[in-house]
Amino acid sequence: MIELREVSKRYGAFEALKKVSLKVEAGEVVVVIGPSGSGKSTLIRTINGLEGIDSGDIVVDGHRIGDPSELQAIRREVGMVFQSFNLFPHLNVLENLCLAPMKVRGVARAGAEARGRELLARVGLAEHEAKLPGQLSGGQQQRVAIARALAMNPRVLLFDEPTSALDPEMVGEVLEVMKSLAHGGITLVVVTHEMGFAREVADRVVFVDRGEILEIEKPGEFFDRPKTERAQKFLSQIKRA
Amino acid sequence: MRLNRAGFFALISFLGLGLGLFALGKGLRFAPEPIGSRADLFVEGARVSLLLTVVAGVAGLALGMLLALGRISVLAPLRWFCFGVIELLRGTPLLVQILFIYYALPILAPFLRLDEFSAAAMGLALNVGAYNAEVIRAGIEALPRGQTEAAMSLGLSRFQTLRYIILPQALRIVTPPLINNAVALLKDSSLASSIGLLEVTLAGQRISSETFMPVPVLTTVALLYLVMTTALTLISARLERFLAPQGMRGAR
Repeated sequence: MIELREVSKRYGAFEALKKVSLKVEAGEVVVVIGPSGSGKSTLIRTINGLEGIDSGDIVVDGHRIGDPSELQAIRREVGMVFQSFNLFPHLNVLENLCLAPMKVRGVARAGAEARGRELLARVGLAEHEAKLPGQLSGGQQQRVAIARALAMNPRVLLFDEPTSALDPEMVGEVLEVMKSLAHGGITLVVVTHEMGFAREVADRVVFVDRGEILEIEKPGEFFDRPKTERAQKFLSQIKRA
Repeated sequence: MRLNRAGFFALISFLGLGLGLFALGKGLRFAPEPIGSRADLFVEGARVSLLLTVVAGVAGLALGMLLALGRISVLAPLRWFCFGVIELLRGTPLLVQILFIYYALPILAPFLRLDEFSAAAMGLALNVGAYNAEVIRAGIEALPRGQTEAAMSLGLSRFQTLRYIILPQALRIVTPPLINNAVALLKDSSLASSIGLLEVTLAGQRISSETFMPVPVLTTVALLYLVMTTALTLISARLERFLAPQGMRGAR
């Protein structure tokens, strides 16, 4: 479904990604973890072209990133959920969900709204469709953002630290929605600091540090028997905290 | 829907403004000399000033939008061109621009021989357009990057992102400074008197030199401007309220 081959990305002298290679199968749930500044956000932002790459290859569902028309095709198939929600504040909740299906896929308003309501019900926000994003809590906004991404019927969903900007009591409700997606067969790539989520839901855990992928393991294997020294250090620091 | 209501309100406001001007003219007739007997000339001047402001204001808004978009375009030559145009218009006096369009442009390009009103409207539109462009650009750049990223990651094209996500938000942010520019434009329209357009300032000058009574005449001129700018500000403030949806008032 997703294949990165020797992807490199630099910001000036700083190497954000160093020849990273990763393959994600359809329906797989991959959780990317690593210390802050390790390049994990950059990594998933290259998958839908929000970050350009300097060398290497990225192929998503048969489309190769680089060609602008292919990039649009990829973005139609790949949804993204951001740390800061990025809902459109001038549109109400339902309009946030309907805009892309109507303008990008050409779905009629009635169909888009019906699908939008169905998704809002699924994330537990059916009664909030007419509100503006600013009237919702952080957890509610993030659930709307997930529904907005799902409205495009993506084959892949990328999560970039979806719970990091939330108050602690709202983390759970967002993780619940993400867990239900994981069981639903859609391909997920999740950057997160929620180790519990990674252990419970991930098919594989990818450990990134200093722009390199150091380990790709099953969660049980990674958390209980990390192979590299840096992963051991990272996990012990988390446990202490 | 919201925009339609705003447009309807704008239309009603302009009709009301015309009616107000008409009533003002009737009222001015009862003013003591030398104003009363020349009320019609004052009102005709005010009408021209207002019309000039509306025409130049609407054209300047469109121009400002285009220049702002050009200024942030991905095409470097277009970006430089728009930057050059904006700097030229903001870096030279408006009076010189109006004089240039009226006197110099027909010599350089004979088909651009404009009457006084058109030349003044063009100069004012270009000038306010350049200032509007910088205001609109600032509004666009004030939006968080995440808005563009979210739109693009949903598959919206660059144009769709601008049309549905960026501009609606940016224009709401910059409505107050745009109103500011419109008020400045109304006052700057007095420079049209330099090419002999009979707007309210030139009307005042003529009456003043005819009657040798500058104090009452120029006071009347100033009051007419004050009435017009106040009306413009009030209308614009209402318009702004129409444009802002409930939850965005005061929200981040």
